[in-house]
Amino acid sequence: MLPFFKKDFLVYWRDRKEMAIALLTPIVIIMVLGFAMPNWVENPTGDLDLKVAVVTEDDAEDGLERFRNSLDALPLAPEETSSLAVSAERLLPSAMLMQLLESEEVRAFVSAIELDEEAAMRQLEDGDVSAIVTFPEGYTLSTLNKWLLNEGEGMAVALTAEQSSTEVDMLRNLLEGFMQTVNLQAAIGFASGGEAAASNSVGLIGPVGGRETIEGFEMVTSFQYYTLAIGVVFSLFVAMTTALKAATERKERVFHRIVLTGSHPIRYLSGKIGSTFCMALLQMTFIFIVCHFILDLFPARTVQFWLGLAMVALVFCFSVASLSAVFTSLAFRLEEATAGGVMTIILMMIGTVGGSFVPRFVLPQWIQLVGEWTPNGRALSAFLQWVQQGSPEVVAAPLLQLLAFSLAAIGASILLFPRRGRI
Amino acid sequence: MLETVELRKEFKGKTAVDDVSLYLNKGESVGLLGPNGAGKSTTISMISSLVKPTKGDVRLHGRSVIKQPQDIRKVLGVVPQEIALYEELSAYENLTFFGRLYKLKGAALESKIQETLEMVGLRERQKELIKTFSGGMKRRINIAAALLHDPEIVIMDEPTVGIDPQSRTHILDTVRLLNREKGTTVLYTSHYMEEVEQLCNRMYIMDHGRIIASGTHEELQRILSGEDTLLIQLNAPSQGLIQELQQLEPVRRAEETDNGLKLIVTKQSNILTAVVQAAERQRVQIINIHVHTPSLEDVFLHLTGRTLRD
Ligand SMILES: Nc1ncnc2c1ncn2[C@@H]1O[C@H](COP(=O)(O)OP(=O)(O)OP(=O)(O)O)[C@@H](O)[C@H]1O
Ligand SMILES: [Mg+2]
Repeated sequence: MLPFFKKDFLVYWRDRKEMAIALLTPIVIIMVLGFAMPNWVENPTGDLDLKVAVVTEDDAEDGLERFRNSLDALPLAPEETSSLAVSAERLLPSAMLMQLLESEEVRAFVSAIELDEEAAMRQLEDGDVSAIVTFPEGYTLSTLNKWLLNEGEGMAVALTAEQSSTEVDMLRNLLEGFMQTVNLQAAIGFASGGEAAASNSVGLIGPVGGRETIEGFEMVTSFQYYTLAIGVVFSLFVAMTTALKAATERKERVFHRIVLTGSHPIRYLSGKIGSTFCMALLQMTFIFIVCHFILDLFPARTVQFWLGLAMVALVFCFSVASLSAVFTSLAFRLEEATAGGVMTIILMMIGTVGGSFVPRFVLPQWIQLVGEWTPNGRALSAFLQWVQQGSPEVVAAPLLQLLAFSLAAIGASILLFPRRGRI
Repeated sequence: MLETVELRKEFKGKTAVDDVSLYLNKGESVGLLGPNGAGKSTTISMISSLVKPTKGDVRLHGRSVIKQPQDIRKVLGVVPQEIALYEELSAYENLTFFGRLYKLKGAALESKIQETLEMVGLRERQKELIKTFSGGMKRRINIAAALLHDPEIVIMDEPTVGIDPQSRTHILDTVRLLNREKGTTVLYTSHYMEEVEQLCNRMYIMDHGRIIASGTHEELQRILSGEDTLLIQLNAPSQGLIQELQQLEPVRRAEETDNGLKLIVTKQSNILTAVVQAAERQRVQIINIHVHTPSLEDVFLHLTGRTLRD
């Protein structure tokens, strides 16, 4: 296994011209795209549009009334009672949340309409809305009890979606962020001196998030997008280069010599996988680091962020490496020119649908769906999600899928590898 | 120790190798001669298990190796007709790679590499990249790479094609060394009769996929023992003379050469007078007549009607 890897890696490494092209071309392309079309992907909320149905099963007036009535039963001073009653009206939870949903920042990517439950479900099924936010029955009362009296567990709004998407994830983050912040502030308020303080601090909470960011969600700049997308697509080319080098090995009969040593095809393929993995990773690392230093791509990010980025890159490069094994087997099955053509077509196709050449949101819906199933598409989403949300749970699924793809591809390459007498 | 039994290979209806049976005894050096497209390389590929025969068998010590290629691959060293090396790697790196595939390691590998490099006379240049080597040097490394695992049988497919005299001498010396001093069995393929004459005890002559003659140098020459070759130098070319001579009964073949013509005639025929008379009739002057005993090249010409090289 090791001799094959060493040989393949050296063959790559010695080809200085090709190395230089492989490392510099993507950087040039990123620069050109980034400066030529700076606003194409900047601020993606402008292009995101999440239609949300808001279903209110709760009667807010009634809840408020019952909260006020419950205050009378408590052993409180009259002024406390009346201050809490005023706070309750001001902090009416469903109103605050609606206010948040209709705030300028959130309106940029969410449009909310109020519907009854039945209509909302129908529209969700028809795809007219992508998610439903439901205020469950008793929401107002239970939330006010939690916020103002620190009683009970409170209640969460429910978010229903047919399928997960970046927008739905954003909305979920938004709702969770809202709840957490309010609950936290209330808790701090209680700890530091009573209900009045609580109501004050709660009242300070405006719409969550600042101008550029929505809580837990970073915008992707066009340079970031191009760097990730171009980095991904150029890795795919490494898989093809490997296979073309294998075709040369066959043409120049070194492959025959290898067969004569009685080496197993798996050892041969593993050399291809190993060297492709290293070359793809080297290339990607180079692209990311150079672009980061030239463009200040990911300012003020944590070590954890970089580790996550590296993790996605590692897994993706492994899938590229396994793709190179498939291509190598193909190259042995076909004439060299045919193999080159077939590989180019495959790469162009998965490159396009996977969003490596143009941002995916400009593509028709069904192509976007197909694109999600290409390794480069998966990897690009994983990269983008990591940059936007930095949450391991979000990228775990695409990474596992990439690993599954890799194993399947390696299996396929072994099956495709020509048997003796047909090389 | 190694034999092929009625080996045949067809490519899309075209027969490249046609019922070839040959054998190699231990320690022998055997030549395989034939013009372009005779089927030499295809035969070698079948012996070395790279190509499946359409029909026939390859046997090592009497056991078929078609189904068990591993057996023969271990004892066989094949020098392919093409230069099968990594151009971007150095000679040393190439040999290390192939040596490791033969499961050689560490000091054993290192000493084997140095030994084979010494044998082909390129020890000093081992660190240089193959692509910087001359054609002859590449050929020598091409041979070295087939010798790393001490094969009992070495098959060389035209190892001296298109190279400088110095490299050629080196290669011929290497083959002699392998065969005479190490007792390696050699199958040597070539277009060059004199190489085979020098190196081999026995030879097979192949044409159009078939073996058309085989035997030792002397045995083959005896094929032509009933013939003489006349080289006639003329003052001017004359088609008329060739045509006239072809009519004569003892003349087997007459053809034009650079400065006259060449006749193959039955021995002891009184041909010279007839030639002189014909030349007078055609008004050409004979400058020189040379009678020579047939060479193996002539044997080949006799058998195939072609020369070994175009
Ligand atoms: N893979 C192939 N497909 C089709 N025909 C082939 C193939 N390999 C060889 N042939 C044909 O088989 C015949 C024998 O070829 P081969 O290479 O064995 O000849 P050779 O004696 O080695 O010639 P040379 O001296 O030129 O190397 C040729 O006519 C060639 O065209
Ligand atoms: Mg040949």
